[in-house]
Amino acid sequence: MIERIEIRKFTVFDELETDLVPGVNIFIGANGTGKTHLLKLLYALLHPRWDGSSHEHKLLGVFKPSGSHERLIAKGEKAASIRFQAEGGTFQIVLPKDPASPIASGNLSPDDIKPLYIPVKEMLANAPGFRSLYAQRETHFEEVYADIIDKAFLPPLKTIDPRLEKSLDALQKAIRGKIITKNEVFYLKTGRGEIEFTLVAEGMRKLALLWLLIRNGALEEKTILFWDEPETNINPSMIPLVVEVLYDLERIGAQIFIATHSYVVCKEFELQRKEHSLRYYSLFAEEKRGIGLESSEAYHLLSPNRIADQYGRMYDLEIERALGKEDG
Amino acid sequence: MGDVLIEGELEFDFRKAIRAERFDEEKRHRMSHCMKAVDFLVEWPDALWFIEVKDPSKSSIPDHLSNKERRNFIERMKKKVLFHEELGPKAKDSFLYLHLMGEVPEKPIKYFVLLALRELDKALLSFSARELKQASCLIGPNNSEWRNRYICAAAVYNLETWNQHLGHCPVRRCL
Repeated sequence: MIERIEIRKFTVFDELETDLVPGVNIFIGANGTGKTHLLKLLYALLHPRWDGSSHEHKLLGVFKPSGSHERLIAKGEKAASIRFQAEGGTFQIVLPKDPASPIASGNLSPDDIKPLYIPVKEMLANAPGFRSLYAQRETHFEEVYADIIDKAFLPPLKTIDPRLEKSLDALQKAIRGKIITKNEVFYLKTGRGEIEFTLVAEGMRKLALLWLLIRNGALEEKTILFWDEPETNINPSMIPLVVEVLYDLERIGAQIFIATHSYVVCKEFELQRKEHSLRYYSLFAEEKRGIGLESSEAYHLLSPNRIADQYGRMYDLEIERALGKEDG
Repeated sequence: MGDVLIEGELEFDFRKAIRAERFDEEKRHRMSHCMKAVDFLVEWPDALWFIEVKDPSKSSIPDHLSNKERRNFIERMKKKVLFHEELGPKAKDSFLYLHLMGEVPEKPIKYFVLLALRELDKALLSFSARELKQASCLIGPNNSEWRNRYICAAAVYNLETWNQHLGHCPVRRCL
């Protein structure tokens, strides 16, 4: 698990450093404050073996800049550097401005870390042919899309961790069926037959993906999960279930990183919290200083909080209406 | 005549109002055996306010009980019992009482509830207002507007938003 990160001069970040909790780390912030960049960066660096060239390869695949890694260095800077501290060691990488390869160093063993990235767009329905297309042609899909499809296609485990059985049952109930694959096509098998995934609601497909990943062991105790905007396409009534499942994973040791714009996601984690480790981080643009970061273990103490500001604005307008002459 | 009204530990300064009175008292509300009543009636030049105060965070509750009391309260909120069995009926009965007494004024009536609970952020206050409107019969799934006059607006405040929006009649906790 990652305990601390320090980022210098990388894309939108000038200097950013923070400690992280072993459980659920939730990032909020306006558009363009680097939430997705942060998730992708950690994912890309955790992914390959610890040598400079494979990191470069992964970074380029995940970020898809139009050019070399130099495009990832903050404007006008000579080099970017990222350092993190994880359970059992540290890792550091420097991306130089000249065409030389990035230099990585550290003593972290990657064997115990299983990074997994769930992107905003659901991809299972588009899986047929996508993998071969991605392998053979130059596409403009970030690598996280190909990665998640690969993970979804892993064969199911023979035995399931009993601590995750409850989550699997709850997800299966919500999607009202089981997921099967035939020739790279996913189907939802229900009492009334098999439905191809393109005809299944997108929110359901996201829950189905979660089910698949737990069922095939891609999501387990050693996983570091990065999930960009879990709320996308999911009805708010399903968010309690998603949070329940993520807390079950947290309880067995998985570390979770979430980027979100959703009040319901943020609040649901707080409302369901018992002994869980949970922290909120707010990313915000600072004048002349790039992106700033504040964190809090309690959602209502997190500041600045653009999501709360928006609800606050609506509440204030509602009250003004109620106080005014018109009905409210 | 305006007045300072006290509910438990909370003191409301309604001195700028035309009239501010406790409504749920024996000598004012004479049907308490069968009708519920809101705490205060406060009249302004342009509106009559029904006000109900809920203060589960009050300090007079001993510490070991206060968590339990707050939890009970939040549980009642979650199950919506608070809205449908208490806050809603209080508004309905209060309106009916005024109506039958011929005391419904020729100005809009508004129902304001103060929930002195620090856990309630503005999003939750907003959701609560919707529940309050439903429980008080201001809105419903199939309900077109009432033909006769009824309560026309409802809102839920915490201590902070009350003082923010209703600065002319502030509330404070007196210990």
